[in-house]
Amino acid sequence: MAENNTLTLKNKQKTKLTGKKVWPYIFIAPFFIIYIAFNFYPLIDTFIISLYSWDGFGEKTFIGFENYRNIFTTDPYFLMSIKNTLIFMAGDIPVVLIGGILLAAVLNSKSLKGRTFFQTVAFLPYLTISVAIGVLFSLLFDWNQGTVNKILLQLGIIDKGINWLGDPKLARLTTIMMVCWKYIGYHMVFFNAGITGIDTELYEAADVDGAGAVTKFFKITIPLLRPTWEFLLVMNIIWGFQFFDEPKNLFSSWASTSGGTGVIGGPQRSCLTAIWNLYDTAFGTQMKYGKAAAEAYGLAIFICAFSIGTLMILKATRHDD
Amino acid sequence: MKARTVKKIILLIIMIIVAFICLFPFYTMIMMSTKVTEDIYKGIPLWPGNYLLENLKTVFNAHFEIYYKNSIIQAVSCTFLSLVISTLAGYAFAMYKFKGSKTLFSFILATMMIPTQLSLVAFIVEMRNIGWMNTLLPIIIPPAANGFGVYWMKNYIEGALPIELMDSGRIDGASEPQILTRIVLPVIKPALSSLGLMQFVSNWNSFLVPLIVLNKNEIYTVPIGIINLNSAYRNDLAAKIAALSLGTVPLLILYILTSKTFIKGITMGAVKG
Repeated sequence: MAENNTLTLKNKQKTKLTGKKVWPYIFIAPFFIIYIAFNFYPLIDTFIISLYSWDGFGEKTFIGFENYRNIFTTDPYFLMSIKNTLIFMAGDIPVVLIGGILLAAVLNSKSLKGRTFFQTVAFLPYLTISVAIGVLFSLLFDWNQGTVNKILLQLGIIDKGINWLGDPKLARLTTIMMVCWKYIGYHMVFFNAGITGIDTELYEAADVDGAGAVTKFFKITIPLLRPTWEFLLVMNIIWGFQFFDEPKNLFSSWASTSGGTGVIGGPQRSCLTAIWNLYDTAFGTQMKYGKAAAEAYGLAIFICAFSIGTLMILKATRHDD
Repeated sequence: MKARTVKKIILLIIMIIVAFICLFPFYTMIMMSTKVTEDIYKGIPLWPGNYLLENLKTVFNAHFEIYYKNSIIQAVSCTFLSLVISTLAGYAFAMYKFKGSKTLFSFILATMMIPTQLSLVAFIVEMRNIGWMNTLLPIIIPPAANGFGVYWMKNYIEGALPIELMDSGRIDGASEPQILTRIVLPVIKPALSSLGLMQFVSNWNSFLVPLIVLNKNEIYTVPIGIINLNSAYRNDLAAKIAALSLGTVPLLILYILTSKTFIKGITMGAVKG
């Protein structure tokens, strides 16, 4: 307010400075207004809902922390869905990160021709509409008619079709393969961009010292790509907990011409992800809004633990700045 | 000399295998779209059939163009809005020193850690209360405030834009918004292109929220339209797969249009971490 007075006085320089000070707040305002209205407010409201027993439409009954007690003790699916989500993350994150970095290294090798072609092809899965990915994999990995079993049979690798989507362990494996397929090219593009940014003189100097390709990869490429893989690792943990579209469509009845309803969470719910479970609790087969809200906050505990844990490990292992 | 050739061949073989794996499901989808349903499971679908036009006819009889129209409205407006919001905020955090900027930026980083799905239950209640059910608004406005976008633009602007450039604009008497539109905007095109493509892909794929808020055929987006083709065309699998291919086409076109600046944007943006 005091500044307003000086502003009206005379000092032109001062006017300009005040104007400058206001602009950044105006620039960030749209983000905060929308975020608070549609994310922050519902996030708080979700906590309040989690203390009630509510079907979303009728009377609310206050039950305190009963929903939380329920999901952590008696409900069979909440902790299972967290476990499944973590299994998927443990299965796919190393593959997409390590695979992505190796592919980028190959892609950047001087001896390789057709770089743009390979980059585009590897990026295609990311550009396939995610509904289609689940459906496509359910067709490819179908027990009786799927192309994968047919190829394996013809090659003589197996003598009986594998029930990819019917066995809990294999269903998880298929889901992990599906995620890797979708994201490995995406990671390759990021790592490739990072490698392009590395000074080629470093590699030339290493050549002079007689370093082999493997040494150069571990001593130059990996350390200098650290910002890229740190970024992708953290993003993968965030994305991993949100996993929903693809498994939901992998186990829907969409592709079966015989009909029947989709299985929730795949065989024995082995592929029920945390978000799928939340969705199912409130909007799928049950209408338990309070319980689903509690599941959201239960999941938040795991997300915070894993994100903060990862950030701390990354910080501790960083050598220079 | 000889070792070089061997290396060349090995690398090429690795990449061909990778390319094959990446392309195979995609190729299968296109091939299956050209067949009669009865033929889809006959052998391995390597060659195209001659039923593509019929399948497309079936899909458009189910009014697929409505889903297309809705999805384009939704994805284009949300992407545009999110680019504007992210650029404004990213620019502010990158180029201005203002009170609370550190705390506010930490808040934005924290929003990236909290998936929007966590507030889903109350979000749906909110949508019902403000009358946004069965409209495209829930998948246009809320996702436009995207922490990742702000972070992305801030990083890029910090790396690509010298502060002196802004100061020279100020000396010339340009207002702050003028500096942004005339000086900054032309420099950050690659970042806009890469962020724009990623946002468009995620908007086009938007699934969980529309699955709950859209319950009328006239307002379905492509993914929701596709999963609901099931009730009308349960037995026509080939037509349904043709719909999947159609749903992917806009993403391919967009990538072809933006691929050059997209790669450039990633190269200059993400590397700085």
